[in-house]
Amino acid sequence: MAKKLKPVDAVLVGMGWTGAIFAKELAEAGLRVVGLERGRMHETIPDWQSPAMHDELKYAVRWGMMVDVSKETLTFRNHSDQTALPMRQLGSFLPGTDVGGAGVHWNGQTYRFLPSDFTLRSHYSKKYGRDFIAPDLTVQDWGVTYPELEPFYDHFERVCGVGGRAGNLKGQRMPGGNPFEGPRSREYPNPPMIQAHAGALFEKAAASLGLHPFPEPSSNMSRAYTNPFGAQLKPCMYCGFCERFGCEHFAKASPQVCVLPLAMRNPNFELRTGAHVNRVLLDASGRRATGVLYVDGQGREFEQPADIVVLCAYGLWNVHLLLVSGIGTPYDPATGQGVVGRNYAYQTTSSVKVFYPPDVNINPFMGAGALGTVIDDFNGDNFDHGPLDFIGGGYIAAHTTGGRPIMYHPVPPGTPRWGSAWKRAVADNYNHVASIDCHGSSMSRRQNYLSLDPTYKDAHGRPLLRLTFDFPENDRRMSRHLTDQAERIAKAMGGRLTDRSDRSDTYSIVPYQTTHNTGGAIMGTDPRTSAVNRYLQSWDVPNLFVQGACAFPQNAGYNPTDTVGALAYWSVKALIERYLKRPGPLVQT
Amino acid sequence: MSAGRIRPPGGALLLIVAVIALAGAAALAVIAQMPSRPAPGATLQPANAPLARAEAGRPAPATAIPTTANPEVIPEIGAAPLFVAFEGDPRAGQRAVMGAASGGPDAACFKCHGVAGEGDSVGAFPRLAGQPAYYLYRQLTSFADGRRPHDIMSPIAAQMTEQERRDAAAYYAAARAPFRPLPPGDPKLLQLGGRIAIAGSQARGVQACVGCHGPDGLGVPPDTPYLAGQDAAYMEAQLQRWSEGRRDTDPLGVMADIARRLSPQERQWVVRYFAALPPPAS
Repeated sequence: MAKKLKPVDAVLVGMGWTGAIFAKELAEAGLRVVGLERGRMHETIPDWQSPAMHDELKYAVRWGMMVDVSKETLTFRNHSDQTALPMRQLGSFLPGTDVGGAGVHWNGQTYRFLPSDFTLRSHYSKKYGRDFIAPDLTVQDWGVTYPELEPFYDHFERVCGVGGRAGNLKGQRMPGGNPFEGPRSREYPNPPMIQAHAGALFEKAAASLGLHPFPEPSSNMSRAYTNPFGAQLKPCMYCGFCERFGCEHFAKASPQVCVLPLAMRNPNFELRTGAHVNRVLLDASGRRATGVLYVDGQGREFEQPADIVVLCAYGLWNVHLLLVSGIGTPYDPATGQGVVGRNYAYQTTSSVKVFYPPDVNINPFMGAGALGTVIDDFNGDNFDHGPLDFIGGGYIAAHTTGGRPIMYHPVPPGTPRWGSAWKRAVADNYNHVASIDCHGSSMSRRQNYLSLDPTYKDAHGRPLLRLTFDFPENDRRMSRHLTDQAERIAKAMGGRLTDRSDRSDTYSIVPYQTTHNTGGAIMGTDPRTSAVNRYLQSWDVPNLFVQGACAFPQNAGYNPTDTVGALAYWSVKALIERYLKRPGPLVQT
Repeated sequence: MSAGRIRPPGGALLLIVAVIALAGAAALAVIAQMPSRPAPGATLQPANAPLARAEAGRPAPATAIPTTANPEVIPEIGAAPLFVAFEGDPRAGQRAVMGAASGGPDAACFKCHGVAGEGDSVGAFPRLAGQPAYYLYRQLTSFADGRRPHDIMSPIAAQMTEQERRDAAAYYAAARAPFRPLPPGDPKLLQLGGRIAIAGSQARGVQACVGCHGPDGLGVPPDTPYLAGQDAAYMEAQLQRWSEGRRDTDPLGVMADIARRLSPQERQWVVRYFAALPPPAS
């Protein structure tokens, strides 16, 4: 029997980026807020200091900061006629755990989506005709537009101290930035990072082909920076230990460095770690959340009553909580009815490597998570899709994220997989390879969805989340086109040979691709095709808000964090300024 | 930055190619690769050792550490790095150190820093033996151009020619000198200093020193000096100078920020901790 705790005004489930944002803002609005985090606390000092932090085996190979799939996982299959099996080892994506979530071990690539990304279906239908979008795609408009979201992007980028170079300031094109981006109200808060050699080679080649290279927007600090809340960040040392690691230098934006200290010092906020939320509780009507049920580190069960519940866990787990709590109608791919679990999407990545002769040194170890030079010429609808047979696109970037000894060993095609020849090839090539990444969009498709698994249950007796996903034909075509473009640039980069790695046609959950799982509790304007309204408020349970990339109706060709942060600020503002004054649906149906 | 710890083939002429990223005022990304621990002995190697010299279009010998890209292929666009070759001759450097440089015998380095670069704790003269050559060279340049003003060093460095600075730096980088440990200090204070050195201070917002200066403070060539076994009074004076803005050799201001955040007492603790550790090249 769960012990019933003292009610609070708001309970937050998960304490990553969106949890920290809600904790600070709601506590400052005068609400009594409890944040529940299943993991532990960790922070810059002492947890992320090197040399302990630079343990590649512990953190990059054995996923020291990721969810432990022997305790919590999901099941996976490509198609509905298959039986899904539990993911027993991390691979394709790496959900974080502990306070800060993936906001601790991310790279810091902080992109805005394009204006046309937010109106995807109407944009393509208007420009290319209603039949242009393949019939199996369930892509739709977001219900929020770029101009509406711009101030919130701007704010989140100032919270993070993003370094970059604007390409479009209030409609005016700026040299050296991304000419395709939506208008920015202000320049980035910080200048771009110092370009790496691979980026410089990429920039020169891309420019020679008439493309438009620009520095990757980065939440690795290019200089000392104080954010609007007074949190202080320090310059990045280019140590090359961002992705899968915490930053020892206060130089990568994270909830712990940028937001959480402000919440923690507010007596209205209480953080409880080791608190695993199993269910959102509803009243008899099913239209009102009364709180959440959680299990603490000692296995004791608690009920935390609250007037407002905000799901701030990783997108996949938010969807799982909705499903196991019986909130909203589960999606059924056979009929296309139902909304929870609908429009799961991912990211369609590929790469091309350029091998240089021994006198060209790339120095890959001198890297940072978001140290890159990018072109956006083939992202979104920045190019004419008319003669092509797909929608979407992606950015192409030369990243120098680090050349760590265990996992970084590029070798030319044809090299034996092991043995002395392989070792010699590693030694010969380590410092002479530039990598070009294709970061393609992912379109939602009728057959790709999240649901409850009928076979496997977790330690708490709940059915596991089941992922059914394969790449849509649209995205395979897009990815081939995007990789063709990357190969064209690669060949212009002056190496001795290039090696192209296309994404396999059938999605495999084994090789690492990216932790950009989206959809499943998508936002929209119609409760029949979305789980939450444009303010990320549940259509079915108006005192429940659902944050994160699970709100994306499909995924754009960018990293999701900037949009997740912007949506959180957009949502919390509506909650404070409108919902608190008049609790109830913020959008009438 | 663990790459490149390879011993050179006993070269008399140390080839050190520094790659300096100069983006505006920021000269942070120094990615030179150089021998981390030169050949033993403060004395020099035979003069007939093979000469390693990087020239445009000609790859360095296979045994040399990877150095830099061909400067001709580096585009000068955006914030692209500028590549600067850095070479120093420790044999010529020895002559400069002994008083044959442009400043004459009065400016002989050995008088304060010792023939082997052992330093002198009486006068807070820092230990130089085995410091990364590029770091030493950059300090000489900074003494000369006013980024690191110093009553004694600035005039000396200003008198040296560019090549003499490179050579003297190469000499001391190749030098080895014995380490004479200090009398054991108060273990409690050493522990307090060690905590800041290894874990940093959350209360002060200061990251661990070893994050940049290497495990046990052994330095990270080419540009981050070792602190282990360095003179405590010297290090304390430097923290003071960083905090007062009197040393400006760190374009991103990391050291100034750290020095300002630490209390005078904390600075004492941390320098005593490092001073007690055995230095490299000893």
